[in-house]
Amino acid sequence: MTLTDPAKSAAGSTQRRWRPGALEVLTVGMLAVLVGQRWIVGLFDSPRLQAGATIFVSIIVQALPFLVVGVVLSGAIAAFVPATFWQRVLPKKPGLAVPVAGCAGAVLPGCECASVPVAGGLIARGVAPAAALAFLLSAPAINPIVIISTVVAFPNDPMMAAARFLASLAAAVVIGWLWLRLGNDSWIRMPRRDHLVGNTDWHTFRLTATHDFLHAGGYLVVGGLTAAVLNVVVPRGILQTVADNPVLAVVAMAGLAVVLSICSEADAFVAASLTEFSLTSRLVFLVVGPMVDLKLIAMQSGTFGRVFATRFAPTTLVVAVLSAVLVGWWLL
Amino acid sequence: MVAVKREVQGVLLILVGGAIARIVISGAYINYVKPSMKPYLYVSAAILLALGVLALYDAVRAPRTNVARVGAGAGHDHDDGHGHGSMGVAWLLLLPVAAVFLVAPGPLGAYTATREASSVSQPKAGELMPPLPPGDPVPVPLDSYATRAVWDDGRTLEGRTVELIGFVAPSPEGDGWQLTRLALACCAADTVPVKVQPVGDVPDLPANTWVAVTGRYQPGGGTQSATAVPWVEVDRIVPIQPPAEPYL
Repeated sequence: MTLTDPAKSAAGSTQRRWRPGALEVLTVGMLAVLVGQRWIVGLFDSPRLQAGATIFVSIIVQALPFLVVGVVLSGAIAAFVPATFWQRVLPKKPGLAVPVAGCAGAVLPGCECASVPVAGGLIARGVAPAAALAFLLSAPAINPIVIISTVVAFPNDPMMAAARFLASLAAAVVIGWLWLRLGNDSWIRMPRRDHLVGNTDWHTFRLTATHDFLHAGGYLVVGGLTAAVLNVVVPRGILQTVADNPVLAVVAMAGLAVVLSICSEADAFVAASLTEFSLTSRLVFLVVGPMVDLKLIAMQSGTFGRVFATRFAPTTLVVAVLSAVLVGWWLL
Repeated sequence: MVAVKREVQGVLLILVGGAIARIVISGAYINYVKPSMKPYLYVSAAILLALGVLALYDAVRAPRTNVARVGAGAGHDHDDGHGHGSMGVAWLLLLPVAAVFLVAPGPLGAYTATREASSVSQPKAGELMPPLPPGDPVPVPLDSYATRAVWDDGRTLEGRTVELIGFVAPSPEGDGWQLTRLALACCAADTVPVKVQPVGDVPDLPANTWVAVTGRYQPGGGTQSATAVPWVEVDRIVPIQPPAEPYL
C-alpha cells in the first residue's frame, strides 16, 4: 500500500488526531459502491431516470474535451506566458482593453466550459478584470466553430449568424464597460494561486492544469446534474403555449437557455428545432446561453466567488436579452 | 469539508480519465456524443491520466520535502487560501465516474422521443432534392425520408419502395406507434426526434423495438411544417438489431 503511506505521514506531520484520510474514504466508498452495484443499477430501471442519467453523462462527456483544452490553456498561460505579455498586447486604457479582449474571443475555438478557467488564469496574471470578463463572455459565443454551426443550423435565415455575432459581442463589451463603471474588483474572490507555483515552469503548468480541472470539473458536474434533472422534469409542452406571445416567448427562451445549459457549439441546432418560436426569441436563446446558464453560474461562482456570481449573472442576463432583442429587431 | 490532497487529486484524475477511456474503448460513447468526438475523447483521457499519474508521483516521491516548495499543495491543503475545502467540489467528479462504470446508461429512446414533437429539418430554400439512389427497396435514412415527404411533397419518393430503420415509440395521441429516430446535434442533451407514421397493416410492438419498415410513401401526414409526421404505407415490418450508431 504505497499509496496510503504518504497520506498517513502527511496527516501525522500536521500533529493532529488521526482521522480517516480522504484516500481511505475514497477507497472504502469505492468498495461499498462495488458491493452495492446491483442495488444501484436497479434504481435506474425507470425510463425517466435512465434518460436523466444518459443526459447527465452526455453533458459531461461532451464538455470534458473542451474543459481539458481550457485548463491546458490556463496552465500554459500561468506557466509559459510572462505577465508582461498581457501588458504589451492589451491597450493600457481599460476602456479600450475591453473591446479588444471582446474581439479576441473570436479566435479561441471552445465552448463556455473552456473560457472560465482561461479567464480566471488571465485575471490571475494581472489582466484587468473588465477585459478578462469581456473575453469570458465573448469567446464561447462568437468563435468560428459556433458561428459556422449557426450558419449550418439556420440555412434559410443567413442573418441569424451575423445577428448572433453582433449581439453577443455587443453584450460582452457592454458588460465589460459596466464592470469598469459600476463593478468592484474586490467582488472577485479568486483563490490564491501561489501554491500552484512549482519547481519548474513545467511543474507550474501541471499544478495549475490539475487544480483548474478538478475545480471547474466539479462545478461542471453540478451544472450538468441540474440541467439533466430539469431536462426530464420540465414538460416541453409548456413552451409551445407561450411561443405565441412575443414578450413571453423572449422570456421563455432566455429561461430555457439558462436551464438547458447546452454547449454553445450545439445550441444553434436546438434553437433551430424550436420552430414555434420567433427568430428574435431564438436569437435571445443563442446570445444568453453561452453567457448565463446553470452550469456556468456554478463554474463562475467556483472560480470567481459567490459574491461575484450573484451580481454578474443577473446583470449579464439582462444585458444579453436587451442586446439580442435590439439586434433581432434591427436585423431579423 | 475534506480537503483534497495531492494523491487524492491524482486518483480523481485517473478515475475520470479512466471513465472516458472506458466509454471510448467500449464504444459506449456514441450513446452520449457524436462519433466524431472520438479522437478528442482519447486525447482528453490521455491528458487526464498523465496529469493523474504525475500527481501521484509527486505525492509518493516527496510527500514532505515538497511542502516547502509547492507551498501548501502537498502537505496541508486546508491552509491553501481557498477557504476551507472549496476544492471539495472536486469530489463530485465521482458522480459521472460512477454513472459510467456502474449504471452505464444506454442511448435515449422512446421515453425522450414521446416527450417532444417531431422535428423535420428544412432544406435550403430553392435547393432541389436529389433523386433517390437505385435499389428496390432503397434504404433511406428516416430524416431524409421525412424531409423529402414534408418539404418536397414526396416528389422524389413517388413510385419507390423504401426501407426505413427506426425504433418503436408510442404515438403521443395514445394509439399505435411511430417509427422514430433521435437526431443529435452535439450531445444527447440536445436530441430532437424525427417521426414517421406507419399506416396500413401495422402490428403492435413494444416501445424501443428496432424495426426495418419496407413500404411506400403515402400522402396524408401534412407538409410544409417542421412538426409534420409523414406517412409510410407498410408492406413489411421486420425486427432488427439496434444500429451501431443510435442517433442520426
